[in-house]
Amino acid sequence: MIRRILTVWCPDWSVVAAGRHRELAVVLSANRVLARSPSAATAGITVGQRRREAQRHCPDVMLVDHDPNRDARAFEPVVRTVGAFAPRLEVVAPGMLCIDAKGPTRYFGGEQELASRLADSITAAVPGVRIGIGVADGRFASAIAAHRAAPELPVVVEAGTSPEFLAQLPVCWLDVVGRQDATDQGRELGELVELLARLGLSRLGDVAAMSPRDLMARFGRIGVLAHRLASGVDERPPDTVDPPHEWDVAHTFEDPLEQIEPVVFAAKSLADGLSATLSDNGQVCTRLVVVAETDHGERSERAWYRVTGLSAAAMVERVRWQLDGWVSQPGGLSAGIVLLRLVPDEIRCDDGEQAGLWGGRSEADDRARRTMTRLAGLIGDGGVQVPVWRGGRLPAERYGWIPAAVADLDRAGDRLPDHRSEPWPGALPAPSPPVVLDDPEPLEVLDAGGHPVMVTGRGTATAPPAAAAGRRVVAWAGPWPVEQCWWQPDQRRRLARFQVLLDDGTAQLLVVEHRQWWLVATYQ
Amino acid sequence: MGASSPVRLSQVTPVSATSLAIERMLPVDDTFASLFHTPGAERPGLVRGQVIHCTGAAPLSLALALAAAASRAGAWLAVVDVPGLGVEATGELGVLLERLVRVETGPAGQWADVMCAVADGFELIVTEIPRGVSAATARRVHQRIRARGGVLLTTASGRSGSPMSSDLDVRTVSPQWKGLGAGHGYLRARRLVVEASGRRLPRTRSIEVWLPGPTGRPEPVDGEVIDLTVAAAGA
Repeated sequence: MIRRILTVWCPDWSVVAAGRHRELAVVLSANRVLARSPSAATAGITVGQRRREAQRHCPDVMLVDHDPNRDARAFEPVVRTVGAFAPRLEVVAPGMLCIDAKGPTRYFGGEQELASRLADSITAAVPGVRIGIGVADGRFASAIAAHRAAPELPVVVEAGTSPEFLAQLPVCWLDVVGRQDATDQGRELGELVELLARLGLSRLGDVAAMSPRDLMARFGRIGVLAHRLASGVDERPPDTVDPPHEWDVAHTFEDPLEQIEPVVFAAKSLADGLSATLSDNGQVCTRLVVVAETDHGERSERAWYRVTGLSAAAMVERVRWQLDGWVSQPGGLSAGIVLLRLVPDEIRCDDGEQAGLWGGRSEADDRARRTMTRLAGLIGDGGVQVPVWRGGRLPAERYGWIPAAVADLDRAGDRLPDHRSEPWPGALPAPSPPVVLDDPEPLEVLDAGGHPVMVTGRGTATAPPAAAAGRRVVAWAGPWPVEQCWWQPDQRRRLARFQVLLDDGTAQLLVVEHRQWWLVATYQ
Repeated sequence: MGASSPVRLSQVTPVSATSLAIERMLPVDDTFASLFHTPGAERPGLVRGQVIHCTGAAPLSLALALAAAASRAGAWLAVVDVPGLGVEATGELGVLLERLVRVETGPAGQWADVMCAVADGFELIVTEIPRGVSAATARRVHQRIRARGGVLLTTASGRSGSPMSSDLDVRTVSPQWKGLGAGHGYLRARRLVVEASGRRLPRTRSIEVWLPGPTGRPEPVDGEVIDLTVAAAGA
């Protein structure tokens, strides 16, 4: 018996979470558009576009960096609102959650009625948010129904008709699962969709009509997953069993903890232990229930779902999201946290997805990770950072830093893509400066006569630089002009770069902008 | 207990089963091999538990270049309190950016506590010892490094003397940039002399290297002849 599932989906949640959904804005992750505001969508910006492409469509669009923690924190009011209707809900990702529709439907007298009441409450809790609500048999059909729903019009697929509903849809809907799931499997699903379409299987019904055995032989486990999704059977394979209760893990804190960092740290070791137990048994957890309690008996219980399974890092991330939202709710907590429990609620056989660098994580990787969690507890999340590639022509633009806590260390390719080593037009060639000043220092550059050197409108220096910051210039080259966002008055930058070699043997990268010289980097 | 006593194997976590034949050593780039020959070891490398002071004209480039080979072999590199670390150059010098972490201890003067925590999890640490660190604090950090079997590379541009005692001092002297002319060319490569001295080296060793070479990586000077004709001013 497939359960009736109601899915609430907030399109472009990251923009709403950033509080920019009423403006012309996009949220970027790894230089690509992750979410866009309605006005940006009208301007022709689509999800997955590169930053530059988006700017081409819409030069004055506001760019916001993606922050998964912010998304999760901002989603808390929605989760609480829906939780008032159905306490047993599953958060799939920030921006999407589902509930078992059976009980609440009976209470509110019908699925349409329940859906419209939910929509009203959510829009009251988070003004301006657009939501789609779908009700269908199984999570996948319900998620698709939610994606197809208009803000005022929930899509309800009658019981027992999910396979027919799905059969007419194009195969690209399989990627709906892939998109909210940044694991290898999620990605493979996206690639599979393209392949299926090229093979002439353009509708989900075509895939469902295939024999799962053939799909297994041709595509492996991912083919079977696609078949299961396409035929409207719930993602949970029929042969799964409920995990034994001995697998639950919990940590009781002797002293109630007011800060969430130490709790997250404890969650890390719980999650490591839990995933070790699971992998010893060849299982992976797809639905995890996280329970936290305070000294005064306040309780937060939430289920987290991911079709491809939750790794230890993903579990910790969800604990952090849940605690973050719980602590930042209006009024906060009245006492410290005393209990944290992780319950693997649904498990299935591990398809053999390997996480990690070059097919596995070494002990050094694990040790470094544990240390990063501990350091974050000692000096705060912002003190422990990993590099992220952004691209650009100036040294300070090419890489940024993000807190290690929000980076998926198993998937370094997301923040350091392979194509970053390709030449960037207009960037200076290697070698690059080892020291890039966080705050450029102003300095004076003079010619032989002691007059300031400037750059003319034609892009040449008015005189050869002879002295910089009081030292003699032995060699120099430039100017290499950079013109950025010339189409946008308030973001427009026009500057020129120079390399200079001083008489003490140091080499520096200087920039002149608006007749002011800046030291931006040194080749130490 | 003398500093020369071998690090107990139980305290050392090997990088991975295959990457290190000699567990007492972390690999070092071939360019610097002749500076890091240890009597009794088959291959040159950074000895675990040691503190290496990098000074002179290019301390940061040198420290990162020394850490590069070990980072590619599986070790994680933590850069503690080095303001404005250029990520691109770090990658060009050979460090694997996937295993690079920047740590900023903030103004609270927690440098020593943070360093001890970092030593627990990272096999390579680059730091600029902040002012005002006492010799006793520095000793505590040094002991932790020795106990955990990592390698600490400190950078200092001046010659003011460090509060921490070192196992090896590496200096970069007489830097000569190539490629930049009077209004043309661009910085292509830097030739400099690296001198190593230390308690266990009978006399100062020195080599000449390109640091960085034309690709950003360090390269030996006596190896292939690098063509650095300045004439073409193409940037």
